[in-house]
Amino acid sequence: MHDMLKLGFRLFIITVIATFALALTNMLTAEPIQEQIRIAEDEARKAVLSNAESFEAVKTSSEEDASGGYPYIMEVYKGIAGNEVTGYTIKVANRGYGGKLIIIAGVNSDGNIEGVRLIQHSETPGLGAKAEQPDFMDQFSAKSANGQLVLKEDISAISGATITSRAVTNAVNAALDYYRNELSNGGGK
Amino acid sequence: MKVKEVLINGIVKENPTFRLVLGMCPTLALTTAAINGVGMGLAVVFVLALSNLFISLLRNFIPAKVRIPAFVVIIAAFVTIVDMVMHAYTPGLYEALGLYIPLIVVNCIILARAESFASKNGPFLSFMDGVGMGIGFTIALVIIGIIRELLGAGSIFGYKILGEGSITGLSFLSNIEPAIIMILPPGAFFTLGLLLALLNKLTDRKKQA
Amino acid sequence: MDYAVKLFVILLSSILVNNFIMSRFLGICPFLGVSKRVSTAMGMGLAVTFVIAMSSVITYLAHHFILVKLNMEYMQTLAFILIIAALVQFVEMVIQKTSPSLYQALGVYLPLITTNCAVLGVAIINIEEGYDLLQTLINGTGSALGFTLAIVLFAGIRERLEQSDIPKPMQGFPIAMITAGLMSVAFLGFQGLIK
Repeated sequence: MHDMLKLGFRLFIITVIATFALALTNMLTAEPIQEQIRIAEDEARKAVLSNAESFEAVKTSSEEDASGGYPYIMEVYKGIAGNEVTGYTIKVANRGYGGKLIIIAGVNSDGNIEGVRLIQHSETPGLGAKAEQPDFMDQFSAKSANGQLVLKEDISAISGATITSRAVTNAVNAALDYYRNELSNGGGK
Repeated sequence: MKVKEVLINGIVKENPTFRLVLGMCPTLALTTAAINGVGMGLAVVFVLALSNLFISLLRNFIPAKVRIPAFVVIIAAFVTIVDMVMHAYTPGLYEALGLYIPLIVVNCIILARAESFASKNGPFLSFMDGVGMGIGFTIALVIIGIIRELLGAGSIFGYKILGEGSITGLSFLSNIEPAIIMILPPGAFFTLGLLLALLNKLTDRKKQA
Repeated sequence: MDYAVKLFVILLSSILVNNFIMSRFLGICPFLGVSKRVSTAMGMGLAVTFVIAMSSVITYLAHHFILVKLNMEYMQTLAFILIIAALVQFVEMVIQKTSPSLYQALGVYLPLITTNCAVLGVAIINIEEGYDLLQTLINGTGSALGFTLAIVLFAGIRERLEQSDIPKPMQGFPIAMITAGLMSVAFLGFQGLIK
């Protein structure tokens, strides 16, 4: 009994010291980590809506959205330059060939797609993963947000990666749907 | 045992990947690009060296019966520190390594060295053993990474050599398209298997000579 | 109904599509070590399945009701691995009492379940994917079954390999790796099974 207490006590001491060390490191790195996350997200937004100087959240992800099935809208930000709204960035999650993929689409105030980026995916390297490259992504730019994009008509699929191409296209269409229904009518709020 | 001996041991004689065949999970998963191998390898050097050091310092305080949980707590602490520091200051690498950073905690190499070396030797020597083993692991990851990246994606450390867009400008190189399977899971198994066989062949020959 | 379908998808994908050993590379050490006999492999697989099923649930509860509430998510790695170590210790004692022969057969590989990347890996993946408790249990159990499937298949092949004449440099780990590679090619076929 005394033996077990000694074992437990020593293990406890080590665990407590480890916990302190971690709490300390956490304090020191929490800010830089938040900063990194902020920078990465802003960079992604700027990439698809380059004329915006700053962004304001319009809608952020909720569990309700996620449970409704794919594709779902993760977040929407309003792009602002000066006093005007230059457009919106819409982040959409969908299911690709290898797993969840996330795109961000920028729609400017003219009602056209400014740009689309694939920011997270598990698609096959060399095939579906090519979707993140400009060759594929640039196809979405300048398309009107007023319709739905059709694969093989409006957008050429990547050869050998139809499923990935379709997943990305459907995700963009979900963003366009959201734009048409929620943003363009009451837009400028 | 001298310091130099301990260091070289971890790199050559008892190389954790090629000789001890430990730490397979990250070896197979993260060698799709040579640079990931470098990142993971350095993270492991850090964790291995420091946990070996502290376990050695505490080797008389840690009771034998709970030594595995004690080792694990110390290793987990350093792994978490590496995780937070990487998230804060090297976000690109943090994304690339992903799930495998916390998994360093169950990297058999670290626990094996804690058990077989750090708990029985002095702090400085244990620290160097950690460094040596870590470097040996890094070298193994980089070798496998270079092979898989070159054959599977046609690049070395991101510089495209084979296939379309080759920076060498040599047409015979840009006509060779990489074999994607090399950067998919099977490629990992095949590369490691063939390298191990090659090493066996070379050491056998040495023994016979 | 939709929820039930989602559960089935998680189960199928964890066993076949994202097979822990063949596509995620989690659990390789025991995969290489215990798979020489089909019976041992089966025993190991079931022990791991039990540990993972239980640890999935406990780590889920620990994360959501303790770590998140106390704002101490950075303690995740440490807390999870301690939970797993304790659980393995417990399973070890149970097996020792109920089936001494299995205990002998598994030998040192039983405590090594603690360092099985699959156990910690699945706990972390469950949290990252945002599964609820039931989904966590299904994903955990499915992943463990996938692991068991892979090691039993592998053991079957290795048992046959023992009879064959293999060139000396390839004996042991090298041929095991090539075999695993070929199995992994087969499993690639399951990609895209889930739309």
